[in-house]
Order: sequence, then structure tokens, then C-alpha cells
Amino acid sequence: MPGAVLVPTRRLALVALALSVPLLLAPVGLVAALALVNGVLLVVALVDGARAPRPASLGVERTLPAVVALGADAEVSWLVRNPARRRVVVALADELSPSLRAATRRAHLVVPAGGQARAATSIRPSRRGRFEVAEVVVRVDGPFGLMARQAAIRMPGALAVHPRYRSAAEAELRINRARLLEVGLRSAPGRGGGTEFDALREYSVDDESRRIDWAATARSGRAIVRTYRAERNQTVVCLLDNGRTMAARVEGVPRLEHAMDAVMMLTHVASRLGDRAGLLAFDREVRAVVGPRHGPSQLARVTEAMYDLEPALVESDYRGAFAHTLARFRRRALLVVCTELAEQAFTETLLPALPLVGRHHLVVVAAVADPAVERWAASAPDDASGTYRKAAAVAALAERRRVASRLRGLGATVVDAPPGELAPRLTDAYLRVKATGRL
Amino acid sequence: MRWWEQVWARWLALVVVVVAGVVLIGRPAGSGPPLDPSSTGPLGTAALVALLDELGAEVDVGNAAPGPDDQVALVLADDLDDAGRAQLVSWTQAGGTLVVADPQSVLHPFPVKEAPGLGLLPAPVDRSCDLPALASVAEVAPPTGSVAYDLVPGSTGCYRQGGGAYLAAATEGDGVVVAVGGAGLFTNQAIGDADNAVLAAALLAPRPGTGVAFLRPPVPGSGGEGLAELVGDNVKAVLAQLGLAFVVYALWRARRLGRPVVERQPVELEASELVVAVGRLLQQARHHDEAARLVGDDLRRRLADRLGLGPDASAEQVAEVAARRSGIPVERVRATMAPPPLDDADALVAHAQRVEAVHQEVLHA
Repeated sequence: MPGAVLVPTRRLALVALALSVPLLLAPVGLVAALALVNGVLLVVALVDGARAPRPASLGVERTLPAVVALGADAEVSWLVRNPARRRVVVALADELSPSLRAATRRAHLVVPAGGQARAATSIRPSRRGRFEVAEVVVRVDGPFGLMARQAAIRMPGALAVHPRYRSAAEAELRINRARLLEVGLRSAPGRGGGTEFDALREYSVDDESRRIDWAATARSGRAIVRTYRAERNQTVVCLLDNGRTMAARVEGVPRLEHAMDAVMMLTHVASRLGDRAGLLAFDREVRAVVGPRHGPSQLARVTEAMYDLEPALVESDYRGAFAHTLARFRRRALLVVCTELAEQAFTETLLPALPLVGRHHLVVVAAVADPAVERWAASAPDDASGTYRKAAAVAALAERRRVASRLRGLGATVVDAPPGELAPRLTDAYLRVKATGRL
Repeated sequence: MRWWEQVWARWLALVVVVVAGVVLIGRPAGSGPPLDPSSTGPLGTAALVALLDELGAEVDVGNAAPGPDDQVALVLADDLDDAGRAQLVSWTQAGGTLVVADPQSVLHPFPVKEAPGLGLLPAPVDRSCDLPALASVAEVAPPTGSVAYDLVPGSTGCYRQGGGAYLAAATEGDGVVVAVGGAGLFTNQAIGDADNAVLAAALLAPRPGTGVAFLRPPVPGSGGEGLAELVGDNVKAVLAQLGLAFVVYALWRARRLGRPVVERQPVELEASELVVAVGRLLQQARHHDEAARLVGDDLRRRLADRLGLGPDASAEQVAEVAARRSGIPVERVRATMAPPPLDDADALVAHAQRVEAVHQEVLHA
């Protein structure tokens, strides 16, 4: 810790100001009066500063939440203990980043002799990521409040701001619906119901006749049907593109955030339905890997791996990411590539790399569509600039359709949906794959 | 013109107007500093110099002490140093006539009369003395601000009022020191009043050929004393203390309680920016035909989708089916999907509106 420095206080400035009144009436000469008045003030101030407790002698603690969700409220508090035999006035400032949106990062406390005092502030993070705080600056006033000692106290800490999981309610809805189908409380029209034999039970009017088990029916004398359930222990791996195209904002939020929401929902649903969900985040190189696992804690693992990703302003290396995927995950899996349908990036990098994984895995490509562009394309402007913009929007959407069409031609499933719909529609695509036994 | 250029243009125009105003309503031509012997302004003394020349005096305007050829010296405003004053006193003691019109000057021995009236004189004032040299000057009209002197033993006073004298004379060696209660009497605006010009002539050019040393008055503000000499010591002490208090305040404010927290912010770029930029490029390049083609082809795709024809259906196919189902003339549908060359951006806007109209009609047919 660097040494404490003496700092004048506002009170000292006010006293110096007030001393101008007696100077106006002083009978002595100019220099003598100034020297006398300010000499006394200087001595008193220095004595006051010398008697101020050293900041390091106080016990300062910070309480910082380990994890906060983006946009959620949390509290940061400071506790100051005073071992001295007289009360002290303390001001402190913490290294809270502006994006944490703290109500204040400073506090003023009067700590009684031998006692302690606490101050707190609320935070509401506006940005995802890891926020490190290294030190707290503490300023302790002298007994007269004319001078203070100030020093920075090392107090390292970190706060993780996790991405917002907007689609949590949608995920629960789909989990419940899938379970209802699974236990046979509702019939699934058309395809569905899984392919793995589960049990025999008595026929009901909603059952398909092709599922009647004639041998069991003959044995029991009543109509018996075979029930199936969706296969479990299948693997779903989300490949999250962290490159430059994911930095652009759609409806005020980076594409990466929308993609993270989709990854979280898919991980949540897959892990709750008995499948193994994993993650691989990449840009020019692989940034994070979470191996496919079962269980409710997998969502927390994936979130933990994603929260400090910042889009890298580089071209993503799909080939490298796919090669890494093949090396790490040999079992056939549903690979969900969360990326942007940009024609140049697709032609130059994704298209040549896709055959690497297309042979062994089932590929779904998920992208965030921009509602603003779709509005412009469907608009009927009455001015020239709006009409040219409409033409540009039409061209941009046509490019997306071309890319999606070529991806489908290569056997991939494409989910191109606006924010708010991407996560549910991607999950629905997963559930369809699961129900049809394509994995 | 960009907005900041407009702001600068406005400020420049304002400055030009102010400068022109100052030039136009400023000091009139010919006016110089007050009491300047070459100035023809109201406060100048060019008329006095002309009068003396007319009377045959040899007027020498300058800053040097009078010489042996000079019989009279005129000091309108005393900013001489000690050496200059000593030379002047020596010259007077040698037989010269020193006329001093500066009440604050130490070249004459007369104190300014105190109350009543703070020594100020009304105008005009009668002679009320029997100096032979002033026999022809019946009354003078001292301008506002002139003062009266208390006489000292052995001196003579004229133009008296309330015990004081506007003009006082005393011998100095072989010479005479004459104190006039202010230089205003000799200015262009006052020298014509009452017998002021006669008094000036009697004092400065009593006979033709008189040598007059006209000591050039100082330009206002050219003195050696500054504003600080006008301020009392206690006030200076208070000002110094205020400065010190401000320094302490600045030191308090300068030491922050905790450094600013530096945070690298992510890139903020709207995804739709590219579309906006492409639209602007199309507009700047005047590619209205290309824009019309894009909009028309989009209509073909939307109608094909709507009519169940598949995305690759030709414009001709789509036009025929759409016309059949909606009753719109096939030529009109065809023209919106494959427009002829357009003349300008207005034609493009009209085309885009026709496209949307056809789309709506087919949708609601």
C-alpha cells in the first residue's frame, strides 16, 4: 500500500476564508498580519493532520456479491472498524466501474470510538462481464477536521455479471409440454412421442392403431398399445460465434447477447429432458469449452463460461472451431451454430468448413434477424432516402435467404428469427429433431 | 454550410459589427488626450497655443525644462520627477514666471482650500485684487471642478470666493510662482468664457516676444503609479488571504477521493447500419434503376410466396397468376415487377408506392 498523504479539507479552506475578516481590522502591517494569521493556521493544520489516524489502522471490509444477473439489483456494502479511542470521520471511494450503475461509489461515515459503521450502495449492471475491483481509497479526518490522511488500501475482488436469461419462462413451458407428451397425459398428433420403447398400457381412443401390440392384446384379452419415449442421453453442443458479426446490435443489444439467451434456453431444456448439453465459444480461436453433461447444474456451467465473452473484432474461424469440436466430441450430436447469416463470411469460411461436421453430426444454424431491416423492407416510404433504404433492406434480406437456402441445401437446419423468438424457435427445432429420432 | 460554420459566421459578423460601431462612435477626429496642445477637441489646448502665437509669444511645447530664453513656463499637469521639479524651481528662482495649473502639484506652496464647498468655485468670479498685471481681467469663469487656494504669508490672491483664491501668486527667489485653480480654464471649451482668454494672455504673454515654455502634459494613464498604490494595506491583506483560501480550496479539490475508474467499453454499432449505408450509397450514386429492380424483384418473391408458386417462379408467371386471381391488369403487375428505366429518384418513389399498392391489392383480392 502506498503511503498516506495529507490532504487539506474544505473546513481548512473555510477557516482561511473566515480569517480575512480579522485581517481587515488588524492594526499591524500587511506582511506581519498575514504571517501571523496563516502561521498559526498552518501549525494547527499540521498538528491536526499528524493526529489523524492512518487509514491502514482502520479495519475496512467490502461485501461484494459474487454473481449478479445483467439488469438485476444488488448491493455493495463497506464496513469500517475504528480501534481508536475517539470517533473518526471517514470518507471512502471504491473502484466500481461505471457500467455497474452504482448509486454512488463513495461513502462518508462517522465511526464511534472502538466501534464500527456500515455504508451501502445499490448497483444495477448495464453490461455483462467480469468486473474487478482492486482497491478502496480511504480518507480519515483529523480531530479538528482541518487536514485528513488519504491512502489506497488493496482490497481485490471480482463481480461476475451474467447474461440475462430472458427466455426462462419459455423454457419451463417447453419442458412441461415435453414431459406431458412423454408420460402420455396428452396425445401427440402426427409424428412425435419418441422412438425408444417405454412400456405397454391399455388402448385409449386417442392412440394410433399402428401402436397396438397384437401379441400383448391376444395374451391379455384387452387392446394393449406400445408407448415410446423420446431418446435420452443425446448430445447437444452449441457452437457460439464470438466474432465481429456478433458485435453489432439488434434492438439495442449485441447479437451475441441474443445468441447467449438461445444457448441458455437450449441448454436448460436439453439438460432437463435428460440430454447432454455442451458449449464451444469461438472467434479466431476457441474461447470457452463446456463438455456435454446431464443435470440442472449444466446451465450454470454454460452461463459461467459465457458471461465474460466479449465479441472479438475478427473474422471467425469456423474450420478451426469445427475441427476442435470433432476432436473433443466424437459422439454424434446436434451441433447448433449460433452465428450471423452474412454472405461473405458464409462463402469464405463457413461453407468450406461445414462438410467437416455435416457428415457426423446434425447441424442447426441459428441467427438473429433484425426487425428494423424487415420493417424497412416492408415499408412504403414517400421520400427518396426511405425508398433507397427500402431497396437496401430488400437486398439484405435476399442475401440472408440465399445463405439460408444454401445451408439447407447442405443439410443444415436454419433458424433465422428476431430477438425474443430465436430462443423458443431454436428449442422447438431441437425438440422436433428429438421427437423424430434424427439423432 | 455545416452548423459550426454557421455559428462561426454569426460570431464573425457580430465582431465586425462591434468593431465598426467602435470606429464610428469612437473618439472624433482631431481630438487627442486632454490638455494636449495640439488637440482641437473640447479638452485640448490648441486654442491657447494659437492665442499665444497670435499675441507674438514664442511658444515652445516640450518636456524639457525652460531655458534662459524663456520668461514664462506653464505646467498644466505636474508629472515631473524630483530632478525636473528642481530644475524648474531653479529656473524660477533665477527670475522666471512659473504658472502652475495643477492643484496637486508641489511646485506651488498653496494648499487647496478645505470646506465649505470643498474648495470648488462657482463661475464667474470677480478679480478682487490689485495686481497690475491683471488689471484688464475683470472676471474669470473657472470651469466645473476648479478649486480655490488658501493663501500663504507673503502671497497675493485674486478671484476670491469664500476666503479662497482661484489665482494665487508668491515670489520665489527673483521669480514668481502663480498657481491657477485648475487647468480647465485653458482648455478649448473654456478659454472663450468671460475673460479667461485675457487672463491667459496676461499671465503667459504679457508682451510680444515673450518666450513661453509649454510643458507637455502627460497622457492619461502614463504615470508611474499603479492601481495597487490606491489600495490600502488592510485590503491588500484581505485579498492575499482570499487568494490563500482559494489555494487551499484548490488543493482540497485537486486531491480526488479515489481515481476515476477506467472501463473499456464494447463497440456500439447497430446491425442495421450497413443497410442504411448501402441505401445512402445507392442514393448518392443515383442508382434508381437498381433500386427499382430490387424492389420489383422483392414483389415477385412475395407474390410468388403468397400465391404458392415457389420462390423461383418467373415474373411473367407471377404476373399472370396474380392478375387472374385479383383482377388487376397483367401489364400493371408486370410493370411493377420489371419496371422500365426510371428518370430520377421521384420516379423511384412512385414506383415503390405502386409496388406496395399492387401487393396490397393482391393480398386482399
